[in-house]
Amino acid sequence: MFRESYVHSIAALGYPGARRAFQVGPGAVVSNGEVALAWDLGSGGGAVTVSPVYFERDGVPVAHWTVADSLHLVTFEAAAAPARALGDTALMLSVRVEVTRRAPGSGPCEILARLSTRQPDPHHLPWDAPAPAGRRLAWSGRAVLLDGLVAAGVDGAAAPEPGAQEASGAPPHGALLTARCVARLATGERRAWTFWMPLYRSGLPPQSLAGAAAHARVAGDSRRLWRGWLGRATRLETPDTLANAAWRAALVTLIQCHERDGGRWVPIGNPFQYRDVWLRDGARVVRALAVGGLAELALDDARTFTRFQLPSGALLSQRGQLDGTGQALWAMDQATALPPAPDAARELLRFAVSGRHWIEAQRTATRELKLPWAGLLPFGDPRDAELVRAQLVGNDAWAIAGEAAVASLAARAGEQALAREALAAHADYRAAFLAALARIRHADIPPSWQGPGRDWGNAAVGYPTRALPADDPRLAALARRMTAEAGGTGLVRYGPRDSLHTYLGADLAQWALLAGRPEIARRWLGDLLSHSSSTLGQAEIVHRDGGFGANMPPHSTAAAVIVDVLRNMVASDTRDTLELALGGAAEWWNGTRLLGAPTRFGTLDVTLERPADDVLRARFGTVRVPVRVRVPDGMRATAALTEGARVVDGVWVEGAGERGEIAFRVVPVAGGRR
Amino acid sequence: MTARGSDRGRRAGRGGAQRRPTHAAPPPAAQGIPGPSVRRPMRFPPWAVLLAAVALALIAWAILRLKPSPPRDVYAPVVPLAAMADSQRAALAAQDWRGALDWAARLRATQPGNVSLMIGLATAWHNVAWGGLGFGRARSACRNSLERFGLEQRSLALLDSAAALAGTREDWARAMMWQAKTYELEGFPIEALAHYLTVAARDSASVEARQRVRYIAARLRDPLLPN
Repeated sequence: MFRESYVHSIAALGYPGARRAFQVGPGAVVSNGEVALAWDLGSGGGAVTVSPVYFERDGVPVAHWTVADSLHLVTFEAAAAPARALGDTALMLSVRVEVTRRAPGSGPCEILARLSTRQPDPHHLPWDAPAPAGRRLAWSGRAVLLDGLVAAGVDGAAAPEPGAQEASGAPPHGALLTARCVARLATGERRAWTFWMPLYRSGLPPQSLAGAAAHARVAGDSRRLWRGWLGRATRLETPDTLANAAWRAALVTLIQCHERDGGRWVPIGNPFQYRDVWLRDGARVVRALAVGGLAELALDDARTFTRFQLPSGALLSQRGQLDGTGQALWAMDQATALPPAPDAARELLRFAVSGRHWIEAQRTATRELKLPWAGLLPFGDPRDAELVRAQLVGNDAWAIAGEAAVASLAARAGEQALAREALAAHADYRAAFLAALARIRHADIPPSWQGPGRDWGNAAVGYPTRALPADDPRLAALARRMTAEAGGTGLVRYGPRDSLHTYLGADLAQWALLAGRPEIARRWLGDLLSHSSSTLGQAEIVHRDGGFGANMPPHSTAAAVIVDVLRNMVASDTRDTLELALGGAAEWWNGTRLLGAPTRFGTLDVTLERPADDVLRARFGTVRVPVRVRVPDGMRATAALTEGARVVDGVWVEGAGERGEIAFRVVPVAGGRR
Repeated sequence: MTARGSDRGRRAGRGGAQRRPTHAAPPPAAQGIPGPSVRRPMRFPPWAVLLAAVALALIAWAILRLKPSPPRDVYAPVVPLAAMADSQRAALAAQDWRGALDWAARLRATQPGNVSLMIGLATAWHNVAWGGLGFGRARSACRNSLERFGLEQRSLALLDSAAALAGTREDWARAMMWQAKTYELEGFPIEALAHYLTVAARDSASVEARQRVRYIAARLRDPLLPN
């Protein structure tokens, strides 16, 4: 079980294709957004404690938690899985509640299951759920009807109590029904009850729903299906068990944050309050899915993005967010590059070329209008992120990335002339960007060319847009300023000083890997995981005291950047060389495996190992590009042991990709510095 | 992209079908060189001809039955146009965007080429994209940005068609102004400016177009200016 860093322990039980997710917590409660089912231990055992919710060891999102008093321990197991009878946009939840008497002697045990149309905060009312007021709950045998349709069911041995509040109509705090589960137990004796809830109310007969909700079936299906998803994904195993778990948890979040729309997968921002599509978040998800070996999802998501294209070529998901075009183009490139997929590149190229034409038309217009910042995009008013109407640095950085993406897509599709054209435009745009940066004489990189705004898109200038090279001192200055403003954590803040942002600092962490400053990336990752839920989900913004308001975890972009950072710590294809072990952690050389990892250079199995105390060896299969390995912090390379490899400055060992491995001798460095 | 012409009525065909001779002339018999065999026209007994005719009739009947009938005009103007327009105005006043869209669609179906009604339908789509629907609680009208953007795309396409088909300067200016406003609302100042400029250039009486040109141009120069 991982530590719960947040004030409320919340977890999502969803599945790709479902249009809602079950919320587990806070406390012993599950909900589909319309009806909540909570359990109270009513046996008079004094103070009751509820554990945080946690998932299974292999990352499968079957939720567990406990409730305990001095007399009893109650364990909960909640699983959600598709059920044929409910269709492919719904799920069935089954909860098994098992009580064990731990007090000496025998005695009664009572658990009250309470059903309500209101749920404890924080929670989110789904888009397709009516307002709770005025809704009616009623028993029908051991099924619960909400406005006449089946909304939940209780164990056959549970005793439904007459709905006392039904008589008084809809109470102001939601309808309430109670079922009583009673047993007499001796010490160590156990008794279990099961409960179920469909994701949406159903008109099917309760008996048929109860059959579909058999706990063994639901839990078994959930484990089988999720293991199938995770089994298809890239595997990351390091000596750091928290990092391994974070990788799997992030994949689970990314996978479950998918709906179907128009016959294709659609990436959404969060299982609860952000069941919507943002290009800025979706692009990160596409990259992470591609990196994580889930190319089918990644490619479908990228295809979905084409629906956001206007005849002008612009791609826009939310008004005023002009970074969407560059992000969508970048996502199309990622989805077809990892691993290289020429057919898919050809399919998406025409959308990308059209997007590039829009970018160029905007740049031409700002020149022809003789605007103060000519040759860049016009102002954007995103009403989010930078929270200012201005010419945003991030918009230009993403557009530059978009130009590079079109060049890459075109080359992959075999359209060399288009590739050259896009590369030339990319070079011209970068020159304009650099000239603008030189003109503002800012200490680092501001959010907008006019100056004001919150730091957002400017954090992406080094990675992933690569509008600036990693060794540009302004990037180091930006990272220094943003982390300093967060005051003592590796994360960055967003808005008020007490609000930490979980994924905004990821691009700076990635920059740090490319700039040879892996300690910054490791610190960001460590602090992110220490600001995560007990299921290793991340809220978007976290108060320093652990609160997240109604902005509940898990956020798909946070999951996406975790996958991307972890992968790049082991194997990075950002530049034209395969770079290994950029994370710089010495302990990761005690056995790290990244298996089935799609890269621009092919799908690789990478291992980092330490065959002897003073020897490190990286294996990576065969690639047609140069390879270089970063020597971990606290060590210095003294000699290359692989033929043709060479040590550079004691920090890098360079070799040929065809060799498939690079081994080298190291010595510890006093004080950990080289 | 335009929806131009997509709603034009079907063209009438060019007269009736060409008549064919009911009986083909028998092939001329070969002269001189005897062929291996000269096929004679086959003769069928009357009952077989009758059977074939019945079978053909049955097949024709089946084809006609299986062929989808033309869609019923669900928007047939059973309600007078003025009453429909009133209903649309009432729905707009009540911010019942879905209701307004329904009435706009009905109105437009009565006169598919009517530019005013095209603009009415386009703006109704736009309103649904942005407004909320009656659901007993506040929520967005569209489930997600894909739905919202899809409506906005349809709206822009229809406005583009309306501008292309406009018979009067006023109708054209209205269609262009709505496109400009949509681009402005969506956050595309360059596209909005281009549309406002086009209107201002062609319709010097359009005060609003010139005002918007000044407003956007000033903010393109200095985006930090207040609204």
